[in-house]
Amino acid sequence: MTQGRFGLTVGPLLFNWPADRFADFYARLADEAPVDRVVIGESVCSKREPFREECLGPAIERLERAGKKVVLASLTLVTLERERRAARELFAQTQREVEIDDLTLMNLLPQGAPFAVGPMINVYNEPTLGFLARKGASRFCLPPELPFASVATLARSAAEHGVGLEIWAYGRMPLAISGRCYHARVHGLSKDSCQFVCERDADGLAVRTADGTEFLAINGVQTLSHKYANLAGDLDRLAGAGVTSLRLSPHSGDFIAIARAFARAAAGEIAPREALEQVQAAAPEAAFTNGFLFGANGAAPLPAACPWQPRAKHSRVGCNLSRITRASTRTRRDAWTSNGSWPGITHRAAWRRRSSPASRRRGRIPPDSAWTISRRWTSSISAGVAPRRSLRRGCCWRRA
Amino acid sequence: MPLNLAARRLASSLAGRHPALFERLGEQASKTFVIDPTDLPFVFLLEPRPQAPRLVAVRREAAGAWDARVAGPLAALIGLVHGAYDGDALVFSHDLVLEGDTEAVLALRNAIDNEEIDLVDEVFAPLGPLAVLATAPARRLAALLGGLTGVALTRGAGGSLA
Amino acid sequence: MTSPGSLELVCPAGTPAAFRTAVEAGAHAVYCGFNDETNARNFPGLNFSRVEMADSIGFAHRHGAKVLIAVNTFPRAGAFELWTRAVDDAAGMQADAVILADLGLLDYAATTHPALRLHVSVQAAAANADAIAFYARNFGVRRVVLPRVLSVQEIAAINRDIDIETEVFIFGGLCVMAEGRCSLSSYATGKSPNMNGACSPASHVEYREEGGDLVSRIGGFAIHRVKAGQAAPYPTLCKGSFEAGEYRGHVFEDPVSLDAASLIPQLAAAGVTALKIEGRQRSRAYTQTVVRNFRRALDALAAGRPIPAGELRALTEGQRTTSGAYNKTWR
Repeated sequence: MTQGRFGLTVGPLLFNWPADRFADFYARLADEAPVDRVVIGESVCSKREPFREECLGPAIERLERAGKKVVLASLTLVTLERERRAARELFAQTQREVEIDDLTLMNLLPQGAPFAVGPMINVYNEPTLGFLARKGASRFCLPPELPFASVATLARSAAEHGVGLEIWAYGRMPLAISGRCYHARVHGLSKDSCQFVCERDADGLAVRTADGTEFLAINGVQTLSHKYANLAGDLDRLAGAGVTSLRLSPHSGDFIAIARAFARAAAGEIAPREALEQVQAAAPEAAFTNGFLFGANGAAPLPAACPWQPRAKHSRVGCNLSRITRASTRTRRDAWTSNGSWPGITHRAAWRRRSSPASRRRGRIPPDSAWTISRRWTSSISAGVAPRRSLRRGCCWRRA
Repeated sequence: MPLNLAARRLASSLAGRHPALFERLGEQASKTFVIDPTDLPFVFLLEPRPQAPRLVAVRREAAGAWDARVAGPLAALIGLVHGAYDGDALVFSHDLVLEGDTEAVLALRNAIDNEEIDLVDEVFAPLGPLAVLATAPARRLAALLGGLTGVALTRGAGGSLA
Repeated sequence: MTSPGSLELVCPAGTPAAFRTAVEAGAHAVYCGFNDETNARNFPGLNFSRVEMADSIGFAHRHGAKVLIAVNTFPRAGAFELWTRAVDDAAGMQADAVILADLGLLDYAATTHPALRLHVSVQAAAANADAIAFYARNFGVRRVVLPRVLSVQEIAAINRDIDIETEVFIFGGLCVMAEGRCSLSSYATGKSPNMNGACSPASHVEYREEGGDLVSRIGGFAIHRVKAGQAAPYPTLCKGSFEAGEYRGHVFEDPVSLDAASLIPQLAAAGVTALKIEGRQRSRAYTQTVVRNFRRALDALAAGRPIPAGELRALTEGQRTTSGAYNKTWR
């Protein structure tokens, strides 16, 4: 069921969804999502595992009945004795592949057992990839922070070793893991008596800076990016580089629609722009990035796919922050190299300047979204004044 | 003013006796620093160019354009140069204020910290063999002033932060 | 240098001057790195040229101290030679050990320099006996630097299960995330601790007066806002003041630093071999004070005397300290 140029993998659900929501999600995934592989199981916090036990088995069974390959997820940070025991038990079953996300599991791996390497294993170079491939790794999902040049080099190396290479193509990116639970901390609880407060935030709890800029999301002991990776517009270069598989990380909302958009784009049925628009329509609240691969930093907004460029006819489809930021990022690199330190703010301020009441009157922007935008201004203004130089540069939507 | 004579001597002495300082600075050597002793009526402009380093005292309002500013009491600044104080600790305690290009300031701090500079030695070094004649009285004076003001005017005077 | 049963004091050096200071102040071992992206403290104006490193190793050996060279970033794809050269040079200079994190580089060092002592860097975040056994079995590593996510009890349990040495952080900057597994900096700035050896890099830091407040930013993200005149800590990403739900404040960690001096006896009882002081980016004034204090403490412990009270408060970030994950309640 490979979608044209890429296999599609759904990564393990990172968030603490209640059991019924968990069951529904995987049932729909089994029945409706055009994906090949599903990595399933708890990878963030071992305290969540008991709640999953009941629904994990039926979910796996249903996915396999629907023809998906099921891979078992493992914990990202293994410290406790019971976590080591659980890791050992993962290998006690032999019918399914295990994705390791902590090198602890390398010590427990039965001789000759096939395994996959997850995105939290530090694979930064060819010798490391080669070492793990010789140990039996069949596939690598690379760490999200790698730049495109590294991905391309590692893809060549993966091809030489005859193993698959996957990248984090959709969803908030795991940026850090800790011994400390931040959900418990911000609720005034300790990790040991956390009351499972992480269950309240289906996509993580937003972390904003003191001036209101959205920055990160916390998910128990894990810290995620605020922005969602979205490589739907970059599949040509990824295929060219030799990437063989895309990982979609589960989120609330219409995840099946996200998977379908990626499947169509992977099969070449829709153009990159259309793929981005379909993904945006399915996740209207999400702000997107491909910055780790192609931008100046991991939070850099998506460049170039500007809905106000002359050819775009879809300007009615949403008009939230991610579109605005995307609109003005043609000049992003220049702005950064000239001042070095204003991602996320420079372009917003630039946009603000362009979106004068007059231009709104001319009907460039749908009135409903104008409200969204002006609300966003407040945060741009409080986020600080952009350096002059970048203000002087044009931004692409002016040309529309 | 005599201060500028001393500053010029210090600059040329650094160039001659501490070439490693400029290597450590790397590309940050092209920056302009303002060293601002907040308890004095003037500031120092430092341009640590490897070939022609420049250090001049100017009135605070005449400082012109700069990349980075380090401000604090003279005692803190001199203690920093002499390795008597820890720069981070001074910043944590707000005795020292940084402005502008933080990377440049860190590079300068690290480069100076490695050189184990004694300001009295540096100022009189250009005198060559005659330096001993000037250094000893200057050092005595510095020690005396240091005792009165708590300023680590020579390297031997400091050492303990806690 | 250390008698059996006594603890080894491993001290930081960012410059040759700090290196000499550490040795003279009583360091049993000094750790340091080359002045490029091969080490995890690749800061402006810091670290050692090849000549400086060779000279410093000579100085340490004449004074009976060991030198551990950190080559503990993760080599960039397509540029592996920069890192293998660092390992080769360390071996050639008679370094007492290299501190490594990357699997490929560990494999290279174990194969190419079988006599070279290998330590697993904290950047590898080997947090349990199985992970440590994996490194020992595959690369013959002799020591592991434990990540700062473990309690004293967990460290004791690990030491019961493994047969190589453990080294733990005792003082200095506190990483609240599992080390070597954090991309906060590259998310905000494009510079990565793992790839570039830079955490919250100064090149992307900006302090600015705004409405009577001093705001510090990194990569454009506001990290601290303090009233003018208040202590303004360096804007380390994980120690910033943020908003999350109803919570306003330090979501991840306060601007505190680690001081586990009071836990030295427990750490010794837990079977730890070496205590590590963080701070290669700090001045020699810091090095001198901290090293001297801890050496005094270790000598007292070895002689069965009570450990003298520390005088280190002023050297700590925000002037507040924590014993971090060593106490389980920290989590």
